Amino acid sequence: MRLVRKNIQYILIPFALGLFILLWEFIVSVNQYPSFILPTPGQVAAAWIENWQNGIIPRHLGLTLFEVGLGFGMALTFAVTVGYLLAKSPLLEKIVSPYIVATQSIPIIAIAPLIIIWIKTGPVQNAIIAALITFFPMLVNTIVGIRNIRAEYRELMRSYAANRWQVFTKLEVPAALPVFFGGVRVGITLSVIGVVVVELLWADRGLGFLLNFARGQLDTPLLFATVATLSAMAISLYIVVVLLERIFIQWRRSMQ
Amino acid sequence: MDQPTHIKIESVSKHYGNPRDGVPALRDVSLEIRAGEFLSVIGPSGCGKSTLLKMIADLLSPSAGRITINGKTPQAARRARECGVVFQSPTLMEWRSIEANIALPLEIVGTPSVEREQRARELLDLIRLRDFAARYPRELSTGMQQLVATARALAYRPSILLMDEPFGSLDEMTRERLGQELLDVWERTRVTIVFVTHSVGEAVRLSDRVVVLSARPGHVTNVIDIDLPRPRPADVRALPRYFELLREVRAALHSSGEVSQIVASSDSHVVEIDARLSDPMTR
Amino acid sequence: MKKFVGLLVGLVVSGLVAGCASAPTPTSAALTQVSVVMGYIPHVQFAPWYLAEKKGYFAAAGIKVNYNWGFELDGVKLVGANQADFAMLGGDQVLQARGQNIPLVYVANYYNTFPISLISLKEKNITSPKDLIGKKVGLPGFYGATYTGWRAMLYASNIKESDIQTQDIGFTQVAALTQGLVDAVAGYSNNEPVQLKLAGKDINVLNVGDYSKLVGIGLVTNEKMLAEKPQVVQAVVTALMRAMQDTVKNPSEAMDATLTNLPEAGGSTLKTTQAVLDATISLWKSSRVGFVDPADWSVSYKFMKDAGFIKTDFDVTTAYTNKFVP
Repeated sequence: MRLVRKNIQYILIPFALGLFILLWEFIVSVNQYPSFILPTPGQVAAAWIENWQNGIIPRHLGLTLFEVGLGFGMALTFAVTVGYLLAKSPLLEKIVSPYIVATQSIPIIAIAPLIIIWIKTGPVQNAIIAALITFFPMLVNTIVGIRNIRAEYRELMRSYAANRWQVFTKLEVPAALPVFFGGVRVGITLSVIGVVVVELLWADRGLGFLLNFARGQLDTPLLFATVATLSAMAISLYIVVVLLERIFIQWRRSMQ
Repeated sequence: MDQPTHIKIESVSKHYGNPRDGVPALRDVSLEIRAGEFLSVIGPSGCGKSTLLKMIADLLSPSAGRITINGKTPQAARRARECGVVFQSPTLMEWRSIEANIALPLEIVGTPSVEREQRARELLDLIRLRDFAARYPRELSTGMQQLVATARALAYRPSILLMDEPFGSLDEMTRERLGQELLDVWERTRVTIVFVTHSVGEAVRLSDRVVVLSARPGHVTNVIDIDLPRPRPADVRALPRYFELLREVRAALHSSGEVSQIVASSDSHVVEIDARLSDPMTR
Repeated sequence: MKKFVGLLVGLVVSGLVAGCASAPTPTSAALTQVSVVMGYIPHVQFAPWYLAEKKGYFAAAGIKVNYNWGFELDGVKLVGANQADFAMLGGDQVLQARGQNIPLVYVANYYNTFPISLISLKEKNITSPKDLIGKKVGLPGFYGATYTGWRAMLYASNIKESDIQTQDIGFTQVAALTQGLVDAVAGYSNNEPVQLKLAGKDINVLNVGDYSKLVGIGLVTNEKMLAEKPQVVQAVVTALMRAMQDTVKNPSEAMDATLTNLPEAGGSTLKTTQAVLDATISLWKSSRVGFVDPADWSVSYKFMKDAGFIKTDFDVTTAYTNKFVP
């Protein structure tokens, strides 16, 4: 019994999933939905297996993964550099903030023609647009993480006559890391969303395209299978971030 | 450490904000601190004692007057790492182990790692916390953290230790014990200690001299010699001379301006300063 | 806006550098690059294009076609602003653009009728536009080709828009119809009817093309192309027309070409792909492939004007030309 209690989370997750699948089967059979309205879990699984084996899902998954990685990387770089600069200069932040916030409220579709004319379309371009959606939480968390460092710590470093690089590496980075990682968690999720949104608009490859394609062919099992693949991808990436967080912020463990 | 440390504070004033409507913190403070002495600075809340300490540490600059440390400006002294600072809160880095925290100043000055480890262990022994080397600050009580902060401040063997109400947030028992530990450390290292406190008993118990500041804007009203025996005996508080000195310091505090003074601060809400201080030991 | 653009530049620079680095291998200097805005994602309806590629018709004419796929790419704006060379657009779109002084020119027909249909389940007994009065019709939106087609059908049948109850159902036509949310839906003639039949439903189909002469989808370019590179336009038109004829003559060949370029269409949905291809053949069939009767253009212009899609008058003959068609 103690063994069960200790590992309860590992038992509950598949249990909840199983319950969900049963409920789904139940709803479909009660309402007699045709497969193009709501397929059964079995049909979705079959579609997934078939499209995995014939290479369709892997190919599009690979491209989307590439775009997510590139977009996230660009967003991270931008967020960290600009965030640090803004954190250090309240004046700069006051000037730049309104524009940055404004970019977040512009729907991609609205400025799509402008973007196309500027940078055409393609995987790298998709990544760039996804980066636009992704960078904001990481930027904000960088600023907050750096700003939240109490003045006493800076005084301490000053009393040691530490140079800027030392203050950066020995104080600012480790101190800001926990808050920063919070932003990364959000960022990685957003980058998946961002890439899929762009792909839905104008891609001929990738999981977003596959969603459109399945929809156009009225192949709802494939549609759901693609959604499942997207979810699995997002969850995996999130887990990677959490694991990285554990590695980088090992010292937190002594609290738990 | 046998070099004469000499802190000279000459007619120092400090003003926050602009001269017209800002907050005056210190007014014309002059003081000389001798090498190797344990000097306490005491005064009512807001009298500027922390400000004074920070100016010595070059974390603030005076609006008028001059401070010289070992013949150098505070900035030069800071760059030459002549002072170690202990703040009101331990300010330990929670992502570093105790040992790594103590070694931090040495990392910054570029001490090679073997020497760093050795010195860190030395300091841990000094404060008798060797067993806690691998623990993290969160696992220690505030009192122990302050002890670690003190050891850290001594890492590169500064000639001066500046302490800003280091035991202020601790309970009476811990305060006493830490005060005793501090004396131990001082006996062995003979650094010059400038110790800001608001506890009369503590000031008398630990110091060679006690400097009394007036209420804001602070200036020196009394400098009282504490001629209790060194090393301080364990039962120092039973000595009649102790009580006399307590009364002397308290009297100096009460007469250092007003018992109760109302000063309008720059953001125009009224600040009332009460010069009465409590020391449970004298009740 | 300036700051946003500035931010975008910063990101774009790194993107462009990376993009250039990952650009396709250089083509031989002899091939002329042309861009075509397809207006949709890769799909079997573009079989003639796939066939033309497979048989090398474009390459033989010294042309390399760069396809711009996606629903949200606006061919009207891109070609109109000379940012793309060609687009697949409906006659209605070209007329509407011309009404806004956008210099588009329709150079070859692709679908011989306006490819919109009104679909209903057989039991509703809707066999003519008048039968729709009093019924609920679902449209994917009150804009775009489907809406224009719907209006064209009403116009040709003398029915007022307000006589029939319409509802915006987004792109859920099949579901809306089978679940009984609406009585009829508007969709593409080669798409929704096909899918419904495959789903085993008995349906009635009203083709807009049977009632209105509104010009359907074709290859569109801009005045600049016509002035500066008419030979390129001719090459593309010739290659495409040839491929369309080949597709009609030999659908299985076109199917193979499609599957080569779009393997996804051959997966679990092969049946759908095949059925859609079969349904589209009738849209490509023509006694003179690519040609549009000027009378049809006049009729289209009158409709667009009366229906309020065109605000300012213009000479409709500037909107099209048949000179490139064989």
